[in-house]
Amino acid sequence: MHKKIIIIDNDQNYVTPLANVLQKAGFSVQIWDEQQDIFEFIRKIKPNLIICEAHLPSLDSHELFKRLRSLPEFKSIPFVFTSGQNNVDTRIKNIEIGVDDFIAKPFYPEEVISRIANLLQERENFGSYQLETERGFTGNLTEMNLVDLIQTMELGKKSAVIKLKHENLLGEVYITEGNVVNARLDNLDGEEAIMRMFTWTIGVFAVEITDVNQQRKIPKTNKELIDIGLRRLSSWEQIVHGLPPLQAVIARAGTKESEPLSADEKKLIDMMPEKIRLSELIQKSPFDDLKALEIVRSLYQKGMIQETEDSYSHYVEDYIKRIRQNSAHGQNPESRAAAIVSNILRKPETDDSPERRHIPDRRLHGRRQSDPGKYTNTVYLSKIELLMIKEALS
Amino acid sequence: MKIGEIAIISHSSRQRDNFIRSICRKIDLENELVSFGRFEINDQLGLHFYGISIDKQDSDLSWDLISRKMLGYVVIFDWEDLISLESVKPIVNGFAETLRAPFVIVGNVPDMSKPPIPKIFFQDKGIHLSPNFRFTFGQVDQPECARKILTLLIDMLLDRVEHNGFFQHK
Repeated sequence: MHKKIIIIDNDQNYVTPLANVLQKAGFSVQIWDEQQDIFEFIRKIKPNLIICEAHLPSLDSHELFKRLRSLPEFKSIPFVFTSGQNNVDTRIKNIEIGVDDFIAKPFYPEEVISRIANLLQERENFGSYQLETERGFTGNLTEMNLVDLIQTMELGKKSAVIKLKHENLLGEVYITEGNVVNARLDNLDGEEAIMRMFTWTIGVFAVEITDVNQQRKIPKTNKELIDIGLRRLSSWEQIVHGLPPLQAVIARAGTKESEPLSADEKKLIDMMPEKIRLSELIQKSPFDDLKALEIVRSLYQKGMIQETEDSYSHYVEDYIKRIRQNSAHGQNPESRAAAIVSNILRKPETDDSPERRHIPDRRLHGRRQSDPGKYTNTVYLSKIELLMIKEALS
Repeated sequence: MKIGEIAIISHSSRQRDNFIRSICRKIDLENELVSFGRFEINDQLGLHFYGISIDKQDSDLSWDLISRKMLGYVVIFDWEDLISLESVKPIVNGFAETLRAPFVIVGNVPDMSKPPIPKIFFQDKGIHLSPNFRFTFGQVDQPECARKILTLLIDMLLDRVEHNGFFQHK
């Protein structure tokens, strides 16, 4: 069935070509007529996505957006603003109020289709989980990355599928009774797939608690995986620190070629289009993402690539978007609590952690510290007695 | 009569007493430092509860003596109160090093119909933190909830019995 899109705009110069492009891309398009009651119209169409001009003379589009977000039946419909006022302030203002995306006019049809397809895909991948907290939970990778998620599943010894979305990539990690058994990412699976996902710190996740029927393709234990994952994350963060933001748009730096390039560097620079987002370049590279990032850093240090002028607005836009997502996520008690439980209260498990070696609490130490672990309990209760207690409590 | 003794530890005397009151009909002893309640299973078996406020006992309590007798521990903190969480953290970490009895750590919430994380993560067996430690959420002044928390502790003891044939902290 075609996905339904509503366009709310009175500028026919844009509406007609936009509708044509969307229809050609396989969407069913409905255009709002100013005479119609907007809420009745939306209720009748039940759209999968709404595209709305931000500045309409006949409708306060920001107010419309806020009201839709406050109504349960409409709140999960992706909402995209378009506007001819294409300055950074306008873009940021629109993103700050919580719209899913903002597309500046004039727009390229390919860009619109790509952004809309991404939004719809994202909603399809994760939307169904949002209301089903009994079966799982969703959140933001900025707050809980894959290492945290695996540890949380391990604590609860749960079987689950963890779905991760980063840029336009979608990966899955399969967990049986707390143990990672397999992972998939595009055409990769097993360790190769999960290693890539360990470096994803931007994006969203959805955890579905369910039985998992997957052959074990990852022989490593969770601890081994997490160790590798943490090392990769650490290397990733170190390299990223010396580069423009991953959302920055980069370009080749003309003919500057002061230093010879390695084969890998040459390969990467040859595949670069005129301009590309840094994150996209890493994704599209034929190398492992960590290696790709290292090559990018080398190219950047050699002056072979540089940040472009329009990079700033993209970066600010993405940054604000992330802040907003995090802020919304911060209000999501499920993910926040899971993060707190896994990160704070798991301390007793790590016997050799520094926190454990240096407990400053004299209530349990001082004179007794010399003989830890001696407090043998002398109470004996049989299984039957314990069962009787349990029965009495029930 | 055989007695199993359980320590209920909280930063708040009100909280720990509410928990004991949810299980026992009355509290035999109640003061700022410690409270005591009895729950009789039958004329041969019973549970004794010692409520201990961690911000009051400081170094006065002889944990080496108390812990010899304890069947297990319930540590309660207010989930929404960071100070309360911070007050139990050193205790929990310290106990983990020195004691071998099972612990149930409870994040007390005002309304269990709206738990902070999906119930599937902590219902029944709680969140497994280590062989000796489980974490769960609860509304400790609700009798049904308090009983569930204790049942979780008893289940941890039963797990040991299953493994060892008898219960003994080692």
